[in-house]
Amino acid sequence: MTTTELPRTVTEAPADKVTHVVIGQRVAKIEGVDKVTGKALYGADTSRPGMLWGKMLPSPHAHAIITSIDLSAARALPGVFAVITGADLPGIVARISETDLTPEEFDTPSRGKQILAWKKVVFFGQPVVAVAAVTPAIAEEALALIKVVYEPLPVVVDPEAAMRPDAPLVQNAVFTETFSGKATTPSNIAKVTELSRGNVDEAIANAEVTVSGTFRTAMVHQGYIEPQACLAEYSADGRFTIWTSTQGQFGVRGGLSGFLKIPPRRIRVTASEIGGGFGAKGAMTLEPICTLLAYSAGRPVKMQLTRSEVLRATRPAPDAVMHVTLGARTDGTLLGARAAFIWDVGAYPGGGSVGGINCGFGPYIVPAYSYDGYDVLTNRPSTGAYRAPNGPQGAFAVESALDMLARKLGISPITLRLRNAVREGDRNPSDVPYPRIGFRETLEAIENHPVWASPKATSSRPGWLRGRGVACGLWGGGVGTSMAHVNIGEDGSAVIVTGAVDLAGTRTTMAQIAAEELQIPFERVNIVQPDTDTAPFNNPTGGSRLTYSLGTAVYRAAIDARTKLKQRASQQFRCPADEVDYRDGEFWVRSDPSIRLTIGQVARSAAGSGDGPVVGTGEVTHLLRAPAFATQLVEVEVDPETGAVQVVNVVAAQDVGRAINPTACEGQIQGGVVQGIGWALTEGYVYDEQGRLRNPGLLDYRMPTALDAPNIECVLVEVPAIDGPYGVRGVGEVPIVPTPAAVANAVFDACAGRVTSLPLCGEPVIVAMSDSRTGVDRSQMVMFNLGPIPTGNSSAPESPGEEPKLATEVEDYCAEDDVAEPEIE
Amino acid sequence: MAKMIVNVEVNGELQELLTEPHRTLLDLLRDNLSLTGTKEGCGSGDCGACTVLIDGRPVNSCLVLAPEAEGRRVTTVEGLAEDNKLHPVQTAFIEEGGLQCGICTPGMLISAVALLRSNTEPSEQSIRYAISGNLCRCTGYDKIVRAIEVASKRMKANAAIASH
Ligand code: FES
Ligand code: FES
Repeated sequence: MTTTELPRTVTEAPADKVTHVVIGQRVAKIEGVDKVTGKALYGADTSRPGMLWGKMLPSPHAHAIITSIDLSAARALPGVFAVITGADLPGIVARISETDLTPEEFDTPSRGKQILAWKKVVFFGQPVVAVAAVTPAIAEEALALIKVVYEPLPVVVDPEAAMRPDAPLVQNAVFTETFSGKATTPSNIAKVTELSRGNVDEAIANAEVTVSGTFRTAMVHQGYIEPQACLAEYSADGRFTIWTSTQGQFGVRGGLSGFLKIPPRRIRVTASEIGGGFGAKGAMTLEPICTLLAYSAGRPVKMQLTRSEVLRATRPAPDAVMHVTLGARTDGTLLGARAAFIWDVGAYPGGGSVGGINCGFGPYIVPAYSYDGYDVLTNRPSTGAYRAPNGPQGAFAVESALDMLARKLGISPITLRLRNAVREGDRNPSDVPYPRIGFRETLEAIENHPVWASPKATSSRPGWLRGRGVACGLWGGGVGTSMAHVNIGEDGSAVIVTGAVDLAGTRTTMAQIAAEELQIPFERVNIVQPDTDTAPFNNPTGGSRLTYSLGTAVYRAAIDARTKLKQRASQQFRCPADEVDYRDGEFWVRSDPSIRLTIGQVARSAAGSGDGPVVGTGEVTHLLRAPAFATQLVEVEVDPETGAVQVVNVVAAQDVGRAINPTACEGQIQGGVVQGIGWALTEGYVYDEQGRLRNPGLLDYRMPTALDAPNIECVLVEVPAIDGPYGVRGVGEVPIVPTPAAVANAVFDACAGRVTSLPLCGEPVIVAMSDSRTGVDRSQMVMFNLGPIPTGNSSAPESPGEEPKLATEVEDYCAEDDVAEPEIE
Repeated sequence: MAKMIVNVEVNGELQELLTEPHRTLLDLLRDNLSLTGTKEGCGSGDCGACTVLIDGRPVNSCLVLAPEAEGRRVTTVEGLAEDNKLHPVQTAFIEEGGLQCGICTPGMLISAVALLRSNTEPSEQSIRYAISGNLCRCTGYDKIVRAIEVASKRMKANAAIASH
């Protein structure tokens, strides 16, 4: 490990603090026993007396008008307690909140509002009706009795097709948003982002060498093994109690408060143990509908998504089409870059382009650039966050193009990247300067690694080809509000109380920080994460923010507790607090070190005397972001006959700032890399022309198994961040970013085929190999010419000539007034 | 639907359970017995989160209909620790970082225990093969494989001590 001097900018520790004894240790997971004995309670593991089961009827169409819904048989089925359609939402919410609501409130193009389809369905599997019944089987029977008549509409599931003027409109009330305003006619292009610097045309015209390519990635799913699950209960005092698998119980409380239009005090949310989230459980899925069912039925309701519902109708990561051109000097120095990234954000606006651009191009100094991002609506489920959202797609395009450039110039891919790598003070594409970062250090760690330094091995499989690829990645870092209490027990032990959700190991890290600052053994620290009525406020977990932000709050709370304990000790010593010293669980009077009390003795006496027992508090709202960089070396073997690819070895170098628990850091990196391997090789949504998902199961949506995963060696680089405790950086997001590109670059190295679309296993490899033999160049595709995007402020387009026809001007398949209210019986 | 009684031994205790015949062994364990340690990740035999031992063999309990469990011996994750002492595989998972979110862990542990019963010195490849029906999305499998290796070594050492 490389280490640099530790900064201590959060709160300067007193001088009597000397050694780090717990930070940097591979301590065992604090909640491990509960998890290996089956005691840990996940989203679906809680039940309540009198509980009903909720289920939802999915749309069989990707795009259709709902003409009528017949609920009479379902309602009459014994054991059914509630049946809800989109038409019922305003009425139920109005009763709960005692306000007047119009249907329009819920008829806006927002996935958060349209928790059930209303008037039309916009993606396959969209929930249309929800029921609650005494058993799951009766709920399913009730769904089978519901008759919905649909009038199918033309479907668009391809983002490039959705941008064309003749494309069916997915939403009637989405207007292109640009930096300069909003368009006045609806369009599938929800948002256009333009980032630029300098004169890119000139830079690329003057470049000594250019490369360009079009890269495609498939829609992929976060793949958490625990489907979303939720239990909601309403009580006659007007309060809701929710148990749910979420990345943030305060996020759910806030979200439900907004949705139900009631104050947060009427909602109590307990976050269950969470069986994987990776971003997806940062947004609400079941909570609103489960709450409405419980209210309508007057009984607690539990809901759990099936795996096919998870795949069809939660929020996967967007697929992307990315055009990239790079211009450079012969020594590899980048002069200019041009890019258009098209994101398929699904049926509702959201997602966003900037992240992918900043992740993709952020690691490099590009003097002149123009990066355009398009968020495009299609008849697919709305998309959401997946580990370093949009980073892996952006990096796949940029890191593949860099590999092409390195090969064209005949220089090492690491040399090329080192030549252009950003340093502290350089700016990212959004013009934000980097603080201290450890990018070059990760590149150097790979360059100096024995695997890179040794010659390429031959393939272990007869007839297969072996190759090696490198790629880099960046995640800007997450921040947000966190709070923690540290309760000191009467034996001098500590319990951390936080309202943050631990996705994969932060409880242990937090306990390490508290033990370190209290200078007590790790075993004497516990941590709990109670419900929103009990725990201090926290933003949801996500964006690799938790160790950084909550870590700061715990660090401050532990120091606060220590300071208070010192003051209590001084009361017991009857001397001023500044004459008390403390180390490793013992207080003493500086002038007479023979007068000593243990932390347990001080805490016990304080429980009934002086200023009383001790609770330390710590809070943080905003820290400087701590960007994390990674460089990965991937070795693959390729079967030239079938295009099969096996990843055989990975070396992953990452700047973690400071590894509080190296085992936890490695676990995050290895997990991210294997998700990246799945993204590269086998994972991807497959839609038919009617917009139906063809692989809504884990057999056909193929995630890596233990046999697909290679050995992954982690190199933890420690360049401390300038904010946050001990220089720590978030580690969770960035390891997935370089992997798909590194795999594709390794495949090229193996078989000379440049694969430009993911997932690449099989046919894409064969096509790429034959293209390279026959000299076909598919990388030079021209982007569909969009013309100017009409905005509210620019009624007259600047460019002369014929105005291009956008989707906004063609026949509106489903204008508001054309859609009659469906008949509901 | 008419209900029926299923007699099944779960974690050493005989149980007489009333159920509808279309329910699965997984439902019996979770809903009738509140043994929620066994998880449902897919309900279709693709993820392994629901793995239990039936007469000592690892099986996806979501694919077993309740009547099929009649007269069988079932072991779930709750039955691995004996006398409040963790099974060596459980200890190794905790110590080696073989779990993160932990949702796959019950099924992984069961598959690992089944492997180590039939093969006391498994190679890395046979470990990977034995758990290839158990999906884990958090760990990348590396530390799970190490944990099973560590457990197998310890169990061998313990067995050697016990036989002396
Ligand atoms: S729940 Fe049984 S295999 Fe997935
Ligand atoms: S630890 Fe989360 S799925 Fe395996």
